[in-house]
Amino acid sequence: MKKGILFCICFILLSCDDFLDREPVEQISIDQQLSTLEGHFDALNGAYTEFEELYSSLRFIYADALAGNVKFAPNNQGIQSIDPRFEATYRFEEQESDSNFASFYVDSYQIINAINLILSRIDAIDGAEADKNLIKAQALAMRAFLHADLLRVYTQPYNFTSNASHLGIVYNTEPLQIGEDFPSRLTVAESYALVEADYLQAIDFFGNSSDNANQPEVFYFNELNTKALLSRVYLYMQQWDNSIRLSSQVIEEGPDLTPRNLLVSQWLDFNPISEALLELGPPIDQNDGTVRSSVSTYFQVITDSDDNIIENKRYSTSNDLSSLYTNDDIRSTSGLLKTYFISTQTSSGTEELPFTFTQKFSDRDGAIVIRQSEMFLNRAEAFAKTGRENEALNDLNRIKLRANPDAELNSISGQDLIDEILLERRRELAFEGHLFFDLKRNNKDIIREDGCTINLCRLDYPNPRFVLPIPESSILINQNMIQNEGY
Amino acid sequence: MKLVRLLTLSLLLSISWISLSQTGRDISGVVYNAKDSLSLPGVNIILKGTRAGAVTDLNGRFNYTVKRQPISDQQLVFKYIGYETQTIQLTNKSNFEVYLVPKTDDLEEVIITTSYGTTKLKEEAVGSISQINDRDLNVDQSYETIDKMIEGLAPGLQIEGNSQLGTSTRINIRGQGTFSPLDGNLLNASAQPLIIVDGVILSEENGFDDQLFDGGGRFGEQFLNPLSKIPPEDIKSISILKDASAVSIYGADGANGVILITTKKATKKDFTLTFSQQAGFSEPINPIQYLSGPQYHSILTDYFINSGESPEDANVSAGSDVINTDWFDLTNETGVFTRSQLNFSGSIGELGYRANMSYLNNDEVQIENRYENFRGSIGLGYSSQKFEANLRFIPSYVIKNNPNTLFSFPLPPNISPFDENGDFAIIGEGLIGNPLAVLEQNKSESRTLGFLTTLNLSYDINEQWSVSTIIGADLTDKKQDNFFSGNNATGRLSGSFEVDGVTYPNWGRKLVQNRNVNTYQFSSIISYKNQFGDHSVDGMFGFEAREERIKVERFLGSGYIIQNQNNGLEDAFEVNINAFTSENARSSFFTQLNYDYLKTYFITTSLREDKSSAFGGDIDAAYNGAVGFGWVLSKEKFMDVDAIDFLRYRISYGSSGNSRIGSYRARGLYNTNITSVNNGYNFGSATFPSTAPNPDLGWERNFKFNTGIDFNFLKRFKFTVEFYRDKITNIISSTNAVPESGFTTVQANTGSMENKGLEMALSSEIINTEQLKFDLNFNVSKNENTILSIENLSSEFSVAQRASALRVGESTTAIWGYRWVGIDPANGQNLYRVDNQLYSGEYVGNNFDSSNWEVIGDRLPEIYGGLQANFQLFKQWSLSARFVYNIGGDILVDQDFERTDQQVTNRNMISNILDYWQEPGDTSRNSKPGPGQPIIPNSTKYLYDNTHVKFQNLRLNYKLGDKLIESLKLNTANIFINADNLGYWYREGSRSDRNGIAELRFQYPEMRTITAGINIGI
Repeated sequence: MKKGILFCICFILLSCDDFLDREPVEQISIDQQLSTLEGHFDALNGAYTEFEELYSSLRFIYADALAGNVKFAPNNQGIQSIDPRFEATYRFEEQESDSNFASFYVDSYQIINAINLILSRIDAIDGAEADKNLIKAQALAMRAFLHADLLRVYTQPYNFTSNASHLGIVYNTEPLQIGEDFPSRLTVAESYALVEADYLQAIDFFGNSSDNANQPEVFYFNELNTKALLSRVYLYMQQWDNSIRLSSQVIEEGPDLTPRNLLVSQWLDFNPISEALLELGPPIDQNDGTVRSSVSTYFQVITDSDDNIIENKRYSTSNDLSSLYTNDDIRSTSGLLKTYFISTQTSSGTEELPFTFTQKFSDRDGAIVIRQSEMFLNRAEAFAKTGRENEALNDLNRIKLRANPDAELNSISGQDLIDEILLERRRELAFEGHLFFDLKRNNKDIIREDGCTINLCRLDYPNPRFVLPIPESSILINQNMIQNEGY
Repeated sequence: MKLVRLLTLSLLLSISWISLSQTGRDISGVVYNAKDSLSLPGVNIILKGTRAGAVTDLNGRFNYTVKRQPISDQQLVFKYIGYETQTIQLTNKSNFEVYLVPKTDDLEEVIITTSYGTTKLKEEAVGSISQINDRDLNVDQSYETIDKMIEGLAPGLQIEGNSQLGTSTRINIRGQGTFSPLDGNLLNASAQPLIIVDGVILSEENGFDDQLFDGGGRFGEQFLNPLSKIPPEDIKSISILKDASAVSIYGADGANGVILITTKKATKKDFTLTFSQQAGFSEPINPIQYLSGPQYHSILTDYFINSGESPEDANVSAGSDVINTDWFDLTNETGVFTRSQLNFSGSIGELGYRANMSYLNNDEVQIENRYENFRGSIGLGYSSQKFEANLRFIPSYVIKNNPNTLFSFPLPPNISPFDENGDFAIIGEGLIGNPLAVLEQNKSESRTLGFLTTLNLSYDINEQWSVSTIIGADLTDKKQDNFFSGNNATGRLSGSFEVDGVTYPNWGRKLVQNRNVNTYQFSSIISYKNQFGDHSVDGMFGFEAREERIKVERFLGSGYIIQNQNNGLEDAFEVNINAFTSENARSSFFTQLNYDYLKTYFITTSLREDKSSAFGGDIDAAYNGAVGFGWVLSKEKFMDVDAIDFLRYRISYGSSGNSRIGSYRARGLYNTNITSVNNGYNFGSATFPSTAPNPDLGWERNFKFNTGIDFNFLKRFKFTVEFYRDKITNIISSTNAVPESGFTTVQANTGSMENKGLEMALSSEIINTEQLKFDLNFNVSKNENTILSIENLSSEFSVAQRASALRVGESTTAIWGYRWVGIDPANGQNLYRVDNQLYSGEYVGNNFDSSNWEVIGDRLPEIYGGLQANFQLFKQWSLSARFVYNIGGDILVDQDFERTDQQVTNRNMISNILDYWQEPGDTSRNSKPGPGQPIIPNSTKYLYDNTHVKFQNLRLNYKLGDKLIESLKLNTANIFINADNLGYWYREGSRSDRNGIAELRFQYPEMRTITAGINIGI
């Protein structure tokens, strides 16, 4: 008996350290995760996974729904009302304590942290330099994108103050020490400078990296789309020459514009269109191929085999947008738009009313981030703003004529030309997340007519409501956080 | 007293003198105290069956002549107060030496001081330990778990009950042990005491720091009370360990106090069998009074008028003014309670056995809800002079059905539950559906299988040394099965799915949640005791290892073609699967050393080292220890006063810890399964950070100071008073992280606080005679919590609904908010006082935030306690009554019961809403109903004083007479009536037709259960 007990004690004493060493079952510690190159690839892929989820969330429709491209189709009860997830935003009534975009803010920084964890540890591990560069380049590009996106949503445009000295965002270049670091907002100029630096560094690393083995290429950051994104950032920074330089490079090195005869069919198909530069692939189940969620969740109309509408996803196209297309424009109802008749409660009872939906996004489509057409439009705008009007018209007409070979080509100049380029941008990039930001950086007013059922359909620039409130969780916990004006 | 005794003595002596003149046998003898062999004067010796007898003299001697024939068959009965009665047959003896054994009353009571097999006489135990023994415990109460049965029985023990069967109560020993979480989903270190059953720690049922497994929300797990495993009738004693010298031996887990439950042992004895059957009824007490259909219609009409509709339109918008549906009435009925129990014990050779089986069935007042508990225990015991072994096997099975859960959302009373065809009307959306349809069509069931096994072995090597081992396993397997049918609104989610070309609406949700707990524990102890003249020493040294593995799984099936309760997951269109595993291991060494001199001066010390996997391998071991002194003043010469039976002073100081924070908290983790699909981005494998690292996370410590006096006097009063001060440092909480860090919460050591208080307990045997006994036990406890410091905690952030905040100098259970002044008679708006200025509700809502809150109340009472009275009459009738009370303590009631804004359009409100402002000059409680009113949930408007006295339990027992029992060939038989929750008295009364604290305290009312039963023993 006595011996037995002594044995037990000894046995447990000897194996004590193992006994207490418990690794998580469904999880893995940071140290272990980031101890190998493979672990870094998985962590990077995790960042992509969350990035895709973030980008295809409510954030995807923000710029279009807010600025008048969207009209809300009736819900299942036939009532035309604003999507409750977006209602306060649409009304410009967002609150610090209850923001529809609070999770966009928080999730963006989650991904930024995931990236910074990778960047802070990758130099210490074994692996080929070219492989490490591939990881670093993608991580830097994603970090720049996320911060640039936060800048678009949470700050006034670059020219809001003369030297962009107004409030920017928190820009994290390394993981924060919780409880010790309470980061402050930089100015807009400083924030954009860091975005630019990250993109430039990413381009450098891409130049010395191994090839990305993952396919399709457009699902990942690469040298080409990073340049394209940088061309966009220069547009936001009003550095026209840089924007021209970068977009020219992409136009030269990148794919041709998707030709007219293929455009509609390629949009309708779930594969990225041929001119896509970066698209975030939807989450697809490996086993049965079903898609868990896609951006079509906003624009889809589900019908049964007899074409009866079962459900519409409510983000239909406003007349404000559809009236901008001529009849033979391929982007109108003769191509990319489709009209459905939907039961609607009106003052005179239930009526079947027409609602038009975009067909850019089928139920297995990814979320398009940037494509070649934008390069032409970016360059056109930059040319126009630097007085190179002929070159601007050339680029503009490339886009116009593809959509409609019979389009009327006016010889316009000055502000008219700039406005026409912006209008073409609205036509071409509709539902791809541009309109509100394009208006804002050009200091234009938000005007919503068709489908606007509330009192406040117009918001004149400048106005504090051109930016969203920093969520309460940051204001209350981060002692250095400053709220945007007006919230 | 002495006079009476002398008179009796002389009387009896004269009787014996008379009897000398007759023929008989002269007997004589001496009566001693069996414990110290001192002679006992004044012992009554009675010849059984007569009234004749003798009394011992001052030297314990007696003489008597027995004349009753046949002399050898006569029996002498020796009786003395405070001692066990002894009966001796004369046979052919005429000289007797009799040793009377003292009754083990409270003074001589044996206290269980640790779960490692140590016991002490109550007068020798230095630690602050309240023990409830089986004879003080009424297990005929209709509660399902023991915690609810002991409310009010011990000072410093507070049970925060609830009205839902089978769910966990909050047990506070000397106040709340850790910070209140500021956000509903944040989890802190456990605030519950450590519960140890026969040496084995009972595993808690808790949520995890994981969105899917934190128990929150509609699809969350329902946590059950782990004590439902333990059959109350099997319990021998419950010891509540409170101060450092008592709990330090439990080191890193003892901070919140320790409850030791000891079950009855199987011993070598004759076969006995007892059977009991109990049944009764439950009905709700103090239900909330809601508006009737017409009342609701009238309020709603006003609402629509105030939102700009014409009176005619408003009348139509408000719906029916005739339908009067009482949803509570439709979903509740009289509850039926039954409990059956059978237990038997005996021995085979040297092996004792004990078996107990019980079945409790509570067919609840809520229709379709039912709680069933099968429990059993099998005990085997062997003991020889040196070796003792006890094996206990306690299986349990709990089935809880509660599809009827919509009481918290009262539907409008002017809609009918049925449509024109007599089918269930489709009502509500999302969480809410037609309650009648929901309870019939939905399913909510959990089945929990538990096995608690303990093996206690001990061996005495010699007089001084002994070794013992405790091996235990606590296993739980729980399956929760919910189905939300698409035949009512709770299962109608948006979307659709397609099977074989047919499109179906995405209706029906099935949720299966499993919890699997495996806990193993091994302890090994070596103990020593010895006496050197007037010095006594005892001590022990032990080792303990414990491992706990909890795996939770969650299967959510959605999209059903047929809406059938018994649908399987395989019938769903899509199933999401998630799992979470928590593993914890701990190894510890501990030692305790006790010394006393002359049984007058006592010292006890203890020390424990713990290492836990929760902190990762790098954090050093935690050391906790304590020292305590006791001084029995009544043994000193200068305190030799007749009235004082026992007087002792105690003092102790030491530390304990709280490491029950879940596993891997300090590490910083990546989730490896970050999406519900089978892969990450573009089919690649993917991981994502899930838990923030905090390399500095350290042990939470609790430094306890305790001092007290035990005072027994006049042979019938026992009084204990204690003062304590617990300082808790390095409190671990889940705190909000700066969102820019990429994490929303982090585990950190966030501050310190203290609990200090006073406890008093008085027990008395006011009358103690053969025919009538009356005793009274009373206890009172006062606790005060103060936050001493806050570190690492970036803010006081909390949502208003929880109304909690952490601020230095205030209590962690304080309720924070605004002072409501009333309704402005001029315009009918709510008025609040902030910084001594009056503001309208609208202004407060728009301009103030949590930094403007002040303390408006406290969740925990200032003073609480209980009173129990026991009567016994003619040995056959006994009556006991128990009251529990709270002084202070507040309850912030959900404002949704009383909202005059748009909420009123989709749910019923309490009758208090009828008092609303209508025109200038009115003073009333509420604004007039209308849209767009500012919402301030945490104000004194919704705060109620919870000071109350509750008539907790009444039990009347009748024991059948000896003759009747004998003629029925039974061993024992008794009949009882037991009533629980008889009623309340609240300091804040309720107006008739309106609700006050009595009604609003529980969203679903408590039950009053009255049962009757019979116990038969063979």
